[in-house]
Amino acid sequence: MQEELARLREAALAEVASCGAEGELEAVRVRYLGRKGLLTQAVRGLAAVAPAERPALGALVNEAKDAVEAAIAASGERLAAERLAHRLAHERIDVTLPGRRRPRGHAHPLRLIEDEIVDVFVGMGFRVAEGPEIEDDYHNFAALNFEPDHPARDAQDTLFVAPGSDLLLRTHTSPVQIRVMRAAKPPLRVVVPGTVYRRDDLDPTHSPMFQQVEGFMVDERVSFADLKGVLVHFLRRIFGPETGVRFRPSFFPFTEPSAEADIACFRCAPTGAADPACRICRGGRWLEVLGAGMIHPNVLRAVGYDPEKVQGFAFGLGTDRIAILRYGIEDLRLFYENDLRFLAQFPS
Amino acid sequence: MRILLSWLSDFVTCGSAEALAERLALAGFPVEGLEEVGRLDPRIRVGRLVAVDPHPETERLWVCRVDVGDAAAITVVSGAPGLAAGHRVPVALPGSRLPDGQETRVATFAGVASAGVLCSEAELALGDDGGRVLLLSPDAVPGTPLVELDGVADTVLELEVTSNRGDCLSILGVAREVAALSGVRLRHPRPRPREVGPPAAGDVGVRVEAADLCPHYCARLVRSVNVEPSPLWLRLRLRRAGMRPVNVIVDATNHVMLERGQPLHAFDWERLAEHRIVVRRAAPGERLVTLDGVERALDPPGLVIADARGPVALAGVMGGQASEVTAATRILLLESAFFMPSAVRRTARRTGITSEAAYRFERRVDPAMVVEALDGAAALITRLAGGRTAPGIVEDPPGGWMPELPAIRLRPRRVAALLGVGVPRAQIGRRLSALGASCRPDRDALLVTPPSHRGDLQREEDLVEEVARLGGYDAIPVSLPEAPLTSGEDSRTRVAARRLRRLLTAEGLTEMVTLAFTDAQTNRLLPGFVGRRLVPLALQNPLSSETGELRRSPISGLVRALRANLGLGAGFVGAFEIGKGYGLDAQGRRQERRALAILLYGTWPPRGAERSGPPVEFGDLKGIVENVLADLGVEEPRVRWRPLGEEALLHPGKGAIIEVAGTAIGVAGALHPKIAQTCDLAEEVWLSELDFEILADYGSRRVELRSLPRFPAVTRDIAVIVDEAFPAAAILEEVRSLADDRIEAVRLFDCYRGAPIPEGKKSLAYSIAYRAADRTLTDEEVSGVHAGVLQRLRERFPLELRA
Repeated sequence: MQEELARLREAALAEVASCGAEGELEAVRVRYLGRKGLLTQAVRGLAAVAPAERPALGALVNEAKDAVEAAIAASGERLAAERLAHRLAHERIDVTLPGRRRPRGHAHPLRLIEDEIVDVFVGMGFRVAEGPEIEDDYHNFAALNFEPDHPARDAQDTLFVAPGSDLLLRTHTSPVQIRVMRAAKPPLRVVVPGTVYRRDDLDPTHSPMFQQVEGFMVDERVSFADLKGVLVHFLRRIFGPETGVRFRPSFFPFTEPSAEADIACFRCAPTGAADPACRICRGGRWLEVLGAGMIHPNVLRAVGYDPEKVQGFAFGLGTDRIAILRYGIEDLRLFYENDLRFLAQFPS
Repeated sequence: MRILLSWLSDFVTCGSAEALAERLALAGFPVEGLEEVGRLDPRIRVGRLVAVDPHPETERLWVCRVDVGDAAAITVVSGAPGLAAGHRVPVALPGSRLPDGQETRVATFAGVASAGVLCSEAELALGDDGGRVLLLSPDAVPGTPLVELDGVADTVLELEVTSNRGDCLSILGVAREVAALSGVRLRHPRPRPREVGPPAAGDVGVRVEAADLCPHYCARLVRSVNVEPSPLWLRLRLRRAGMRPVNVIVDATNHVMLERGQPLHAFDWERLAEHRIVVRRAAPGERLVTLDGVERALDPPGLVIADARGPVALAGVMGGQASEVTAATRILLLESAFFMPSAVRRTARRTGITSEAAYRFERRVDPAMVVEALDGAAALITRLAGGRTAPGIVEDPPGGWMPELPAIRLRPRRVAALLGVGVPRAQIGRRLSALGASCRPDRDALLVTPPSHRGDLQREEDLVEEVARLGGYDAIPVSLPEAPLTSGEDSRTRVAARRLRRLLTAEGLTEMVTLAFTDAQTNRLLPGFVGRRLVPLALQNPLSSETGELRRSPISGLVRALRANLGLGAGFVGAFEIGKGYGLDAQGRRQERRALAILLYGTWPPRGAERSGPPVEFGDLKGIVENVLADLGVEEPRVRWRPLGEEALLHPGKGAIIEVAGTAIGVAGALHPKIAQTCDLAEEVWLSELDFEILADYGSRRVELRSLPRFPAVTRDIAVIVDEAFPAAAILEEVRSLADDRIEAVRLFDCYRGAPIPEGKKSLAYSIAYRAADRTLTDEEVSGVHAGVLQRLRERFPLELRA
């Protein structure tokens, strides 16, 4: 019995050692350790052995089974490691092949800039309002203190809408000031992005349709100094924290005092002298970016406010103009021609 | 407004051009250009023709001996006509460069060497006449470089003058501004003519019948004028200021206008019927041929200048041809008047004429300048054209007119409140006085009377601006407003648009912004969805017929952009626009409705190593729309794609109306082939238009979570053979309509045509997932439900179940 055990053990270990694959190893396990395996049978053979010898023999049998199992496990690990090593040595993909990209879409630059502008004002507590593009003379001109026969109307060459009405395509976003102020009481902090129209042919610097962002703030003590503060903050958020800003007197019928704001060319001269070869400012250093002013008392009266009790500022800027400056675009038409090769250069 | 610095210097001492430009820009007059003119090469000199002889060999050439200031005269050959000994002419000496860059060399003409070139004004860039040698003033000293002659070298500042500052549409006006800004003295000479001969009143009558439109009209009579070309300095001034020299009379009146801002007009007195001026409204049926040669029907309430017979000028806008000054004119009637800005603007707009005079009258001239300018013009004409000014001004109303100047109360605390910084009262007074206003104290305020040329100063706020402007806007501090800390808020539509933009760009589509205009035909062909029932809106004054209407659908813009991109070689166009459709509704009210428009065309770009991706098909478009809706929380069971079946924008057999819970929210499909053909589009254009307002509503809904299933699902498949025309969704809808809560989901997973399926049929395969929320379903229960499903389908549809 003992010899028989020793022989089985040796044979099993030899077979384990000769296995070249994990499958063969499993066959060896079944042959010796399976339910009808040779070593398993040997255990059953213990029944025929004298009871006194059983413990010793039993120990021998278990020892043999453990040894074979350990050998199988060790061999299995070795074979698995070899197989992995073989895979790693031979499996290869060409990582330089092009990726299977889904087509990438792009947002329109005017919308990107508009969002950026609006976000700055929303961050300062401004609420967004919108209004109709087909307007009437009252909201677009009369309530904004444009006198009926004043040349100030010439600066806003208007597209009129038939039939024979006083309807027109709004020439600026300012009519929304009137609509908002008539509907609400101060304090107000409002920003108005929108599409506006002028009777201009499409050329590198003009478009019959373009985008504006209007903003205004009305309260008891909002001053011109506050107007400067809000706009300087805004312009530095858009063009960089060091950007030089200056204000010049100007004229708009709906503000008094009125101003235009210039930024120092952010490309060549944010803080110092301009470069005559600069593509953006052409050496002029100052770039006009927006119009603003204190809301005219006639406008406040038109919406039912008392100019002795409330006052405020308003500003308007051309989204297209800001986009042109920010992206260094030389031809406004690019925005409205929608050449995909142009649009594809913007993020989504 | 083009300002010549040499001219400005007659009135005020100004420093460098650059410093002046900067100062004016910061005072509200942006400088659009700063141009050096007449900087001629100093080797172009004044020459005196000593002798002019015919060329010995060649006809039409002259050999001139010219004194150019050197010890010996030089010989110059010229082919120009009209030369005579004694003339002063410009001579370009060898080595000099003309403004066009050409260098002068010694040249030989048929054996005679020419040591210079006699120049025309065109060659010197001083004028248009290239046919003759420029004749200089007889007192020009030979040898003087031409560039040193008075008025030749100059600097032109091009100022933008806002429409409220009509007072700065003149040299004097800008000089006044410069003086106020820099604290220097203004020189303001007021030339008056020497009056001779019989009084004007005997030969001229003036009557104003429309005093509301013309509160003051003045005339002067100038006899014995010689109408000739103007001297060089005057021609140069006018030309550089942007006006065309005509003759000495017209040029002199224009000179006074440019210098002092008051437009003037000169009539040929002999051609005025009865030598009378009547200022009145035009009568119906009256006509006038204006100076530009156009015969115009007059606008009855419009203001005209008439003589005893009829209109002779459009008041303040343009004179008439019949009474214009010509070379034959001997006696002038000079007009200077105050026309109401609105009256002139009306005439100018009605006639479409833009003139320097109308431009100034529209922006209000200085009532105090009417007489001063008239005197100045008479004096200048007397000096240049030998005229004799008749004594007296003939005017209506006699004694003149001056509007009442308002006294405006200006409170220093109002200045502080508006500007955010206080300005001491004394300083306010000083600044306003520098502008010519008179100020006197009135309790805690100032009573300010603006000067007559500042009609724009009417309210306290106007004065606040002047106080700020003279101090410089830079002097106002930068502060941030004090306000309660409330949060800002983007609008519902913008939030929705940003969300859709993110979604659609992730789907590979590119956003476009297209013009809102289209032509009438396209607008009829492309009604879109949101604007399909709107009546197109036409523009009254479109730029062209291609932009004659407001589009009813943004699709018209996308189709135009598609064509442009195809022309540029694009193979795939995937685009969207969040834009509006415009029109009138059934009640005639203006409508502008936002839409999301999507366009797909061509073949998808290659994914990885392939020549191109698959062609775009309906499923791509539908998938994008479904994803948009799903992201907004609108999932399949609530969305129905109903075949279009009617002809409109889309191919009737390849389009769908998209319904959500029974409401149409948009359309999707192939562009109608008829329209595609009109637009030269060869392949299928896949389009969708959705009602943006409805999408925006979906987007604002809150997310509602379902609890996750705790028991396993069992799936069973069904395959059916149906007619080709059978809509695949019918089975989905039928299964869902069973409303058995154990049926969790049903989806189509295969659609097959071809053997062994008979011709004209297709095989559809569906998978149904069964699940109960509270237990694991048994096989028998699932089989029971599934059998019920099959039974129902067999009853409802003509179909054959496949094994």
